[in-house]
Amino acid sequence: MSREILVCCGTGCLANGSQAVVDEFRSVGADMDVEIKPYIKKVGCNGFCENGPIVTILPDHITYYKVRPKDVGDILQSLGGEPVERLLYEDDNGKRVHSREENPFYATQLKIALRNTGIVDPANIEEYLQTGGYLGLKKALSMTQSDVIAEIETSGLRGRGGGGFPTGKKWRSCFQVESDVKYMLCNGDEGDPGAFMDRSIMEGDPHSVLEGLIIGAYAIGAHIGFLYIRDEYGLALTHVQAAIDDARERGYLGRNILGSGFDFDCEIVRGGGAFVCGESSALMASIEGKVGEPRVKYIRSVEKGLFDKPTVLNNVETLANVPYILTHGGAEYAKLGTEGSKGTKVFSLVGKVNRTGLVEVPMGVTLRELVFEIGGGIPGNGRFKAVQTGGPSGGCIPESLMDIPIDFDTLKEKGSMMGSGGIIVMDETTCMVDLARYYVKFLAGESCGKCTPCREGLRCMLEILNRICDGKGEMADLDLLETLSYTATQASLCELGKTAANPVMSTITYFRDEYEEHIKNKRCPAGACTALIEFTVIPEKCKKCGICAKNCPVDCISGDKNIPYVIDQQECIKCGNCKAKCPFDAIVSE
Amino acid sequence: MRIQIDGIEIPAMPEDTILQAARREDIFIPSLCYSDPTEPTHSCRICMVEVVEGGIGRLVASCAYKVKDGMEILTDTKRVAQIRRTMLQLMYAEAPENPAILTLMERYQVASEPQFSNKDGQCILCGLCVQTCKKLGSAAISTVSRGTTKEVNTPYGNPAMSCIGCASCANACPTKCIEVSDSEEGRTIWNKKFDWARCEKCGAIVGTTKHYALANGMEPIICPDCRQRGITDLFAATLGE
Repeated sequence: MSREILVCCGTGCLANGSQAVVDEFRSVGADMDVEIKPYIKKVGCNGFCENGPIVTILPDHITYYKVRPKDVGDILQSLGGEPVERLLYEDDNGKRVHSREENPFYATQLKIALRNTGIVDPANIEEYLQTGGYLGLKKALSMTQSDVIAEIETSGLRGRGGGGFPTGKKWRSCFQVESDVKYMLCNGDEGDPGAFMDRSIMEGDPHSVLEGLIIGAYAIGAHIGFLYIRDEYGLALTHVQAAIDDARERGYLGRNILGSGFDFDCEIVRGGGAFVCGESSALMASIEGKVGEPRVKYIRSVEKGLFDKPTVLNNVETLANVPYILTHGGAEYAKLGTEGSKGTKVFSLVGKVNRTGLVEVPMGVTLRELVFEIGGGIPGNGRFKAVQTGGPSGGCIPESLMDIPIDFDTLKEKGSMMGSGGIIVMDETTCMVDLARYYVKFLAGESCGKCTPCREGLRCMLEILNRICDGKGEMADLDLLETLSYTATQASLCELGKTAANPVMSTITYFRDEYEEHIKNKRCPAGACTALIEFTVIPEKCKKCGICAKNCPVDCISGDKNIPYVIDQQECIKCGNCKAKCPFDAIVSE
Repeated sequence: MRIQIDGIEIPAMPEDTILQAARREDIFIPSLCYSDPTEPTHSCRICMVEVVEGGIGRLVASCAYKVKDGMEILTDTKRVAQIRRTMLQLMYAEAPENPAILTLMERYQVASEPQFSNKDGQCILCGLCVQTCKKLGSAAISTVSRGTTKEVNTPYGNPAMSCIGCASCANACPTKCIEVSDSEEGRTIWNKKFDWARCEKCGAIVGTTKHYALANGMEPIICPDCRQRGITDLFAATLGE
């Protein structure tokens, strides 16, 4: 029997050396008998990047993790027999599991947007076609434009880029505007720190995005489209370009698509790496060749968007859902999720959690399920503190709200947002003031600088947060932060400014005591704000081994085998290396 | 069409923004980045007002928000006042002691916020200079960089090839922070030196040579006074015959 060996070649696994694994498979496999010679396939991201490179054997459904070139021989020898035990995933009970269904990270996931990612060869259109690719487009072209839109409306699909606007409604409004020229755009300018869902889809299944784009274009009556993809996403750019070329060759793009009489073509526009260009009007300005600054939204882009023509802009993940909805029907899709948020959502689960990676689950699962079941809880003996959802413009959700369902409306109600789906888990070593400072610093740098409340408001907020973290804050600073937040929220020109205060406001709401502790007692409870902590050796615990002194980058720890070690506080840069390296927990930070 | 601003009913035209309708009727709404002839930037945000629709008040930028018949607008509610106060404090920190900002602070009785650190410039990045230059056809300056490091400058900070030294940017600037240095020899603006175009008859300065050439091509340089006198003389001569 001939087998398929799927080697994950998403950016994460490539960084872990999966290309060398592919090369090894190909060179060792070359000498094997034709009957048992496996087919080696490079596939997109499997989501469990920290355990990469990931290798899957089909049809046995055995998945190996952290595969190195030296393991290749063993894997090839084991084909058809007992799996290579040491490369299997060990579950929470210490059991080595064969298939993904048994792996707690994958077990409860439901993949729609990621349905082909990690399974098909993204560079091969044939494979996409074999999974039912472009059937959605064929079906759409046999329907009226209005019926296609109705199907999306029935599905309840909402924009996955952050806003959560109903996709069908957006398409309908643009469809109803009379214009000789309309544009269909795809937003692949994913910029949230720690978010990589769109990148993985573009890298691992570019045709699903493209098919979604073509269906959308047909529905609204656009003949030209652009995919705005950030330039840092090298592999995504390569794969999407190849997908466009292949689709054009097969007649899925160009004049008279599949004999329907509908013309549509598209091209890639590379984003220059500005976070704000993920905002719709700034993105359009950037495509037009102008400075990437947002404009006021009283005029909707479905009426006057790119080059002042009616335009629909959809996120990568939204478009990847579209072909599925057309093939399986909107009603089928609407069975998943909650009342207001249908379908599934891809999350990037990162931070202080045992299993990190890309996760697709139905809307409405609780944060607790996501963090503790799929994510496997907090590493070590750490205690869970909060999750940051929605990236830099999102907010923090504390432990007490862990049982809320994840959907657009609930998260917004709790002062955070769905955003593009970043979930950053934090334990008690994360200082919430420091966290707010981190995000405000990010946004102050990424603000386009056009309007005053965002540009200057963030600058002043950052100064205040710096003061608080340095132990120089006053209680009046909290009121000032609230005033600045209110002004940014109400008076900013675009969504970046309007949501920029979320990390500050949500941490003040849920973790006010931490702010007060910094201000009143000049103490950082999490031990993270370096200006407020000191590393000291507890003499009774010190075994005088000298490991701390060896690891100190500024040589400020002295002592010898007779005297307990002492840290010179004047010289200490508070890097925490000594504490991390001490085998006896004799160093504390307070 | 009629709208109501702070209880006063005024006429408005269909495509008006709130600010346009108010200005036509001499109702004051503070604004720094808006100018009728240029493309609006909607950037300074000091013109925020509250629009009451269906009993619910909503904060909008009056330079961007279009009027509707019967619309009710309030320019001095508690929410508007709070935002205006913070905005003026932020602008003060950005352009300390600038007369334009100080005038507004005095008008609304706003004191500066000592907790905001002051910058050392006078520009509030409203972008009016950039729009003016673009509208007049030169587009010699633009906003550069982003976030807190944003500034208005020429390409790469070098003297801009397309700058004609007309100083329209400086005239449009609400905080008067664009440096124009005029002397007998000529004008320096945006790091570029310009020679004066002088009237061939009386020697009066009519602008920079580049500005005059753009407006008049190769025609001889004559100042408006001499041009007028020339026509009068011609008339007199004709009548005298």
